[in-house]
Amino acid sequence: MTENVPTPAPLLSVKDLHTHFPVGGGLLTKLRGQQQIVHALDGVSVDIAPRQTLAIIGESGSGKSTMGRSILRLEEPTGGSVSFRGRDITSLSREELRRERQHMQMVFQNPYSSVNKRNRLVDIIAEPLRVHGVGDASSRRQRSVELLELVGLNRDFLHRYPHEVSGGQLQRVGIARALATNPEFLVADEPTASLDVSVRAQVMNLLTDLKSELGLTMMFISHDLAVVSYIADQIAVMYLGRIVEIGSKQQLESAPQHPYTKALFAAAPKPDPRLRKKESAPLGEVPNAITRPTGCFYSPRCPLAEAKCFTDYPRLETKAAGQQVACHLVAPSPLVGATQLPITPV
Amino acid sequence: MAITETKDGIPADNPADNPADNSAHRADEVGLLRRLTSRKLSAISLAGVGFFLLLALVGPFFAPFDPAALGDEPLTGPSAQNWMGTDSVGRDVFSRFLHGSRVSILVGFLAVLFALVVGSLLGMLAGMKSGKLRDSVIMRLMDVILSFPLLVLVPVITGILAQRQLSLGPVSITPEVLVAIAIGIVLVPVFARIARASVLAEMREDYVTAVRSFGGRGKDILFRNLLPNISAPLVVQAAFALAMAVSVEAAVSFLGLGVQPPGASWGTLLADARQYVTLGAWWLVVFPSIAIALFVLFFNLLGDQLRDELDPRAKSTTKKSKKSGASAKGEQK
Repeated sequence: MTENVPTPAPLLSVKDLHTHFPVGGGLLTKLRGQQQIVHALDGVSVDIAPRQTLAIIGESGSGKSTMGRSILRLEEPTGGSVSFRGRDITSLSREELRRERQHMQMVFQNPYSSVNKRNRLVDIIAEPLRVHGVGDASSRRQRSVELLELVGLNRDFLHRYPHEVSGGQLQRVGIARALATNPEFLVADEPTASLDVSVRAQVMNLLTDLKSELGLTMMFISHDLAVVSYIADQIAVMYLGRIVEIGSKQQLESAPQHPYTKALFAAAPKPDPRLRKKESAPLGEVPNAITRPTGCFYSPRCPLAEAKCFTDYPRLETKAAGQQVACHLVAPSPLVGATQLPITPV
Repeated sequence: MAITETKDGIPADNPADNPADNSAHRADEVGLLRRLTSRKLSAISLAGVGFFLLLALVGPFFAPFDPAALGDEPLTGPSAQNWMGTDSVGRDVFSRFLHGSRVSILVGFLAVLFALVVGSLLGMLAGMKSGKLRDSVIMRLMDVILSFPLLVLVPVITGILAQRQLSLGPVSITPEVLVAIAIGIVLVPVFARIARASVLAEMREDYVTAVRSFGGRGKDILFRNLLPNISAPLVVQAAFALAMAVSVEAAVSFLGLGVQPPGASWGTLLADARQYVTLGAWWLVVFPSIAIALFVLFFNLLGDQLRDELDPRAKSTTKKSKKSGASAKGEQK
């Protein structure tokens, strides 16, 4: 991602990942070749270095959840590659992938729907161990107690059912389950979005603690900028299945380049009234992911759009060290000069 | 450990501190039988079902005569010696009824067991791959079975199976088991459709994705996660299917295509009685008919009650539906 700053080899490297979904239409439209396609993920490339947390932000329908799921192959990507620990995930056989899943886990948005309501918490937490044949029943139970304590719950919870605990507690259980097999990489898909604000902070604290304690590499998907700035090292902004801007947290917070990023940060509520900016919020709705705008996808909503914006999609180009922006109107940084990385083909 | 401090924050969001909440689920499980017996209608149906189970299990031990032994006095009405009279060749109808009940009920249970296992499995396999080839093949096969009238398909399957001397290892399959399997095959689509529909709904839940995400295999998803969550409608259907299986067995045996003489079942008892009803031998018809009618009634009642208790989505009474509506609203939050 960055040639200027020396970074360790990435743990996860996503190259030109595409995930398309066919929608609607019966046999007739299929035969006519008029099948419509949602480009949920349309050529995304990103690297995550070990122990780093990349936050993916964007509006609903921007493809951020699809990205997390495609990387874990919970959705089958239609193109591109995902290299994890040096292996190409997209080419693994079913059994190889199943084994590899021990090292990459997921935390879901809604804790209640992401666990089997009929299982006790001990069975929920130990299930990843069971399916991978780790240990026997008593050692798995022992591990469940450790995991419960790791996420700040005690052994009294072992034999409770999901409906007997609160949402925040159950989300801790979801995190414990994700950590059961000692994964290096965690995808957290809006893990706090369905929680009460008071509980949200606890879960975020837990995640940041675990991140440093266990040396986790994370992809953190969220639309909550406050939450993102708390945990992220890097931030990628997605819009209609593509990354429009990516950079370190400091870069994006202090100097967002893309008009969409600026609008997003401007729209986020800030506790300090003096910080309020007179920035224009995004106009209207996210365009349809089936019939996308020509040119820059953001052009219909962009207050600064020029003629070029309506005809050509801007390439994702390096504007500053480690910061890439896909916008015609952002001049390349003189520091970087002509180093333009053609990462997202148009 | 750095995070132990977060433990202190927990009691703030801890509804489970309430001990009543803690035991709620266990009470649900244990309470099913209690709740069923607390309502008059379900208590009656449970008692009826229990009576028939008892009849099948121990009934034959109380038979006063050998059910196949020919007697000297044909076609005598109910008496102190022959409680249900005697038939055309002087056999004791009561003894034949007790033995026949066991056969009829056993055939019913076997048929439903077969259909429940095979149908649920096929339906779940289809539902897991909805829209794919596997789904189409399985469900079209079910449609084929459904397209035949019951009373045609059962004798045909029995006939085909009977042609081969089937045996399971050392255990040879009796004609009664053949009839049960034939009825079971006919009932498979019912369970397959219910299982598929339930699985389709469950597959949208995150917990299925979660099992995949940590490397669960198909069997982990199927047996450990989907099956416990879709069992309620299947159990309800099993009760209805039992009533159906027993009446089908009676019908097929009555036509002479099911259980073969001299073996007795409710159907063959009726078949034997057919010629003698006009001669005034009412006792040959009345007792098996009442047994079939009551069996069907009780199991249908039980199915209704089970549905009310186990399957809140299908609740019929207004009081119940209001309650489930409120809880559905709560879940959306």
